[in-house]
Amino acid sequence: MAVHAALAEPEAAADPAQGAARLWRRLLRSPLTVTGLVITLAFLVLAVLAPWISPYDPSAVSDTTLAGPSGAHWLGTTQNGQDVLSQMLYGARASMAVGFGAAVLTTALSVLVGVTAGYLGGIGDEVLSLLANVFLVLPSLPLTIILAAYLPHSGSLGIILVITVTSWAWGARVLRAQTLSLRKRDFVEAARATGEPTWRIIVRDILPNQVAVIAASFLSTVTFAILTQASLAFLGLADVTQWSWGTILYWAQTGSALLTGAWWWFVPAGLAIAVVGTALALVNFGIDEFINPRLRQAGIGTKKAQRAQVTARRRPRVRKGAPAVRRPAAAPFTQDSTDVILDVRHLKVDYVGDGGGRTPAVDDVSFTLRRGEVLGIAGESGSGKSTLAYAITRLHKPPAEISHGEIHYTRPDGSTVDVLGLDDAELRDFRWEELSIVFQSAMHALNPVLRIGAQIEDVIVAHRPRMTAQERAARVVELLGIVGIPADRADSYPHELSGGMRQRAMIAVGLALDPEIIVMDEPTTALDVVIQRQIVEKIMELKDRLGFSVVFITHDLSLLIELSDTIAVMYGGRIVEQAAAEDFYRRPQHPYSRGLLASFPTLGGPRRELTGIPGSPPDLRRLPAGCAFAPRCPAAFDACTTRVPQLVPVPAPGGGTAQAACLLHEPGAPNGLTGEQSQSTDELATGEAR
Amino acid sequence: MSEQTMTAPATAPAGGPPVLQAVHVTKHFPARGGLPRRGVARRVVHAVEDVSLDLYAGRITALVGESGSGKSTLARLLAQLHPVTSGEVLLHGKPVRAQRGRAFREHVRAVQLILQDPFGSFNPVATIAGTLGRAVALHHPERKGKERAALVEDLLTQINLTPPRQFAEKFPHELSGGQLQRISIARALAAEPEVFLADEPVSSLDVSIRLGVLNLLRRLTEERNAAMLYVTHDIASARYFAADTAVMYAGQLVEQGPSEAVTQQAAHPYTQLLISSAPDPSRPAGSRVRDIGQPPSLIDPPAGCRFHPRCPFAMERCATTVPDSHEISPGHTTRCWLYADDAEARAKRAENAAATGKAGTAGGTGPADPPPTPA
Repeated sequence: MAVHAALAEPEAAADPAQGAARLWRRLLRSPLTVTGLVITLAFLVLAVLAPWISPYDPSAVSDTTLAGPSGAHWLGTTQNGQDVLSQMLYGARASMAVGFGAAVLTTALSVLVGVTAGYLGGIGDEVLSLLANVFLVLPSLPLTIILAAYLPHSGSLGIILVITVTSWAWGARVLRAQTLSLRKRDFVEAARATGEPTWRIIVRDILPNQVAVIAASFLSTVTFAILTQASLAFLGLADVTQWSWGTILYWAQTGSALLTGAWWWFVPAGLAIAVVGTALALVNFGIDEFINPRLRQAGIGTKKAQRAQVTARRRPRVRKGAPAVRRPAAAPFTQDSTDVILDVRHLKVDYVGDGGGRTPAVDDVSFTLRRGEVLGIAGESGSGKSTLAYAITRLHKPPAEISHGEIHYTRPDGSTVDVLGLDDAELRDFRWEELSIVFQSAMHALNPVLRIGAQIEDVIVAHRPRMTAQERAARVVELLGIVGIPADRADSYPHELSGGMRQRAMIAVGLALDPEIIVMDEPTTALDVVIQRQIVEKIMELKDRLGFSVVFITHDLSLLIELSDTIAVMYGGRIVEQAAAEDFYRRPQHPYSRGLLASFPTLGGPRRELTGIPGSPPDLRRLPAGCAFAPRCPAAFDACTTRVPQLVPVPAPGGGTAQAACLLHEPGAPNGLTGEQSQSTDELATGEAR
Repeated sequence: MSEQTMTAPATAPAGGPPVLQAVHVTKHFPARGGLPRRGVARRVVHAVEDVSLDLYAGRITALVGESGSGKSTLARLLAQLHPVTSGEVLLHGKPVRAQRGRAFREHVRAVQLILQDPFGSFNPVATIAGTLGRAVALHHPERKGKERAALVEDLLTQINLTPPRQFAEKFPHELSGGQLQRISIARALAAEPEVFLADEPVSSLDVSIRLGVLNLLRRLTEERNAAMLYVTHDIASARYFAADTAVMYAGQLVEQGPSEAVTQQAAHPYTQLLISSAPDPSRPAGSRVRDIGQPPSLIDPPAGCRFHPRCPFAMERCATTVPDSHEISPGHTTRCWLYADDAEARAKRAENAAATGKAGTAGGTGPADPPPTPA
C-alpha cells in the first residue's frame, strides 16, 4: 500500500548529499558489507603482492620438514620443508585469478545472452533460451572433471574456461526473465516512445535495474569458481605444480598431513576459502540496498515495532456473550438515529521510525458509526484514510502503531466490546464475525492458486468449525448468489474471473459470516465506471437487505456523496469535516471540502468553473504547524499557521449536521464563515478562483 | 490563463487539415497460448477495428472508453509503437509506417506519448536530470554539457517545477505523483512535438491535483498550437477538457463529436450507459440505465455491433451488420442502427429517447445546479 510505503521511510527525502560523501555514508550504514569488502580487498592485495612479500620461494625445499608455526615459518612447513605461508600467498594469486576471471567471463556471457534473448524476443530468444537450457541440464560436475582432465595443463586459464562453460547458463536464464519483465515496464516503454535506440535503452534502462542480480551472480560465481578450482586441484585434475589453495590441500592430502597431525598445512587453505566465501556473501548482502535508491533509506525496525503495535492500554475485556442475537429486520437509516454500533474516540495511529521518531498518520480522529449507516471517508493519498481503516480492524502492520484512543463496538444485544483490548483469539472472532473488510485490490487479496469457492469456504471453516461440509457448500452457493456470481463460477480461479467478478467474490468473502460492519477500502477503485456502478448498486442493495453498516473509504468524492449517509473528509491525518451527505454537498464548510467539490468535473447540468486546489497534499512526515491545509488554503489567516483547529459543530439555519475543523468558523475570524453566510458550492468556488 | 481554473475546453477551430489521422485503422494481436492447429486460423485479439480519428492543431480530442476498449492501443498505433494490421496512420496527410530506425525517430519527434502511471514510467535508478537529459540528448544532440543542463532546467520551469535545480537531482521515488506526471510531460516537451498523445495522464493522481496537470497540458497545447489526444476513462473530464470526444467500445469507435454534444445528447446506448454509470452527485437520483453485462471477449467478439448483446434496444441487424455512421447533428456522429431511417429504427429510437429521458442522462432536463434536493 502506497501510504505504508511512503510512511515507512521517515528520514527518506533528506537532501541527497554530494557524490563520494554520499557513497561513504551509505556504505558505513551497512557494517556487514564493509567487512565483506575489506576482507575481499585484503585477499586481493595479498594475491597481487605475493611475489614481493612472500618470505620464501613456495617450491623451495628445506630441512625444516613438518615444523609447526614458528618465528621463521609463521604457518609452519610442509613435508618437504616448504614454507606454508609463501604457498598460501602464491596460492591466493591462482585462486583469486580463477575466481574473478571466471566470474567476469561467466557474467559477461550471461548478460550478453540473457539480455539479448529477453529484449529481442522472437526467434533469437528461442534459440538462445534453448542453448541456455541445454547447458543447464548438462551435469556440470562430471563435465567439469572431464574437461579439466582432457585440457592440456594450461594453468588457470583452462580452469577459467571450464568454469565459464559450465556455469553461464543459470545467470543467463535469470537475466532473461528479468529483462522480459523490465521490458514491459512503463519507463522502458516511455524510452521507446521517445525514440531512443535499442542499445541505449538496454544500457540505460535495462542493465542498471539488473545490477543487483548481475552483482549477485558475479559474486556467487567467484565463490563457486574458487571452490571448483580447489576441488579440481585437490582431486589432482589441475596442474598440481602451480600453487593454489587447492594444490596445497592436494599435497597435504598426499603427504598425510591429517594423519600426522600437521594441521598448519591444510587449515590455512581451508580457512582462506571459507573466509573469502563468507566475505563475498556479506558483500552480496548489502549490494541491493546499495544499488537501489529506494532501499537506500533507513529500514524499518520491524521487531521493535511489532512488539509495540498496540501500546494503548489494554482494558479488561468483556467476555463474548451468548450466541449472537440476530439483528432486527433492516430498518432504513436516518440521520436522527442514535443506535451507535462503532464508536471511535481520539484515535491516533503513528508510524514508528527506526530512530524512534513518530509520524502520526491518523491524529485524534473521533467518529461514530450507527446501525445501518453508510459512513463515507474521503481523502487523498496520504490523508490517513487507509491507515484508519486498518486501525479500526486492527489489521495495521508495523511500523504503524495505535498510540492513543479507544474503539468500542456495540453488539446487537447491547453489550459492548473494547476493540483495542481484544487478545488475538478474540480478535480473530471479532474480525469477520462482527466486522469484515473488503480490500481494494481483489486480485491481490484473493489467493491465486485457490478456487474462489474454496476461499469463501475457508472463512467459514475457520469460524464455524462445526458446520458440515454440505452446509458449507450450501452457504458458498448462497453467498455467490447474493453477490451475483453464477454458482458454477465457484470452481473458477481468481484469474479466470473479470475484475468486477473478483470484487464480487471479495464481497462474498466479507459477507460470509454475516458481519455487522463491513469496512470497504477503495473496493471499486480499480474497476471501470460501468462495473463500479454494478458493484456499488449491489453493495447498497445488500446493505438494505441484510442491514449491515458500512465504512466506505475512497478518494472519489462524487461516488461517496452518492452512496453515503454521512461523509467524513480526512486531510493530513485528521477529519476536517463531517456532515450528512446532502448537507456536505450543498454546504461544504471546510475550505478543503470546497476545493475538492470544485475539483471534479460534472456530467449533469451546465459546466461550472473548476478551481481545483493549488499545491499538493501534505507530507505526513513534515506537517505544517497549525492547520495542515493552511498552506493551500485560499482563506488562511495568521492564526491558521499556529493553532490546530478542532472539529466543532457548525451552526446552520436549518439545523445542519455539519462539523468542521476550521478556524474560520470561530467567532471573530476574518470573513467568518458561519452558517448564515454559507453559500452554495458554486458561488464559493467562483469566489475562490484566483 | 490561470493554471488553476478551468471552464471551457481548448477550442481552436477545427479549421485546417488534421495533423495526425487514423484512417480505418485495425489492430489484431496474436492471442497468447494454444498451439496453432492445422486448418484453424491462429486466434487473434481484435483490439482495434476500423477506427478513423483526426487530430487538429491547437485542439484537444478525448478518447473515452473502459479498460480493454482499445483506446490505449489506438494511442500506441498513432505513436507507431505497434504496426497497424490494416488501415493507415497519416501525419500531415502522409502515410507513416515506421517502427524502427531513423523514420521512427522522425515520427516520434513529432508525436509524443505521455503514459498513465507516473511512478512506473521513470527509471528508478536515474535522477530526474538524467532522465530528462537523455530526452534532450536524443532530440537536440547538438546541445552538450552546460547547454543541455540549461535546457533541462528550462523544461522543468515550463512545467512549473521551480526552482528546477531542486528537482533535477531527485530520484523518482522522492517526488509526488503530480510532480512526476509533470516531468513526464517535460520529457515529451523535449522533442517539441506537434502532437501529444496523453494516455490517462491524470487517472492515477489525486483529485485535487488533477486539474493542475490538465491545465498544464492545455496550456502547452494552446501555446504551441499542438494537437492532443486525451485518452481517458473519465467522460466527465472529457467534457471539461476536450473540444471533441470520441467513445470506444470493444475496439470500435461508437460515437464522436463535440464534447458537449456527446455528453449531453449521448446518442449511442453505450455512451448513455457510460454516462449514467459515472458517479455524479449533481444528477438527480432515480432510475438509471440498468446493466448487468460486461465487455465481450475480443478474441471472439460479437458480430455486427459489438455492444448488441448488452444493448436494451438491439435489433436483428445489430447482430449481423456493423452499423453505419449516422450524423446526429453537425459533427456529431454515431455508429448505431437506432439512427437508421426506417420504421423499426424510428420506433426503437423513440423507446431509447423515452428511457434515457426518464433517467435524465440525455440532457434536456434543465440545469441541475444547485442540485435539487433528493426526494
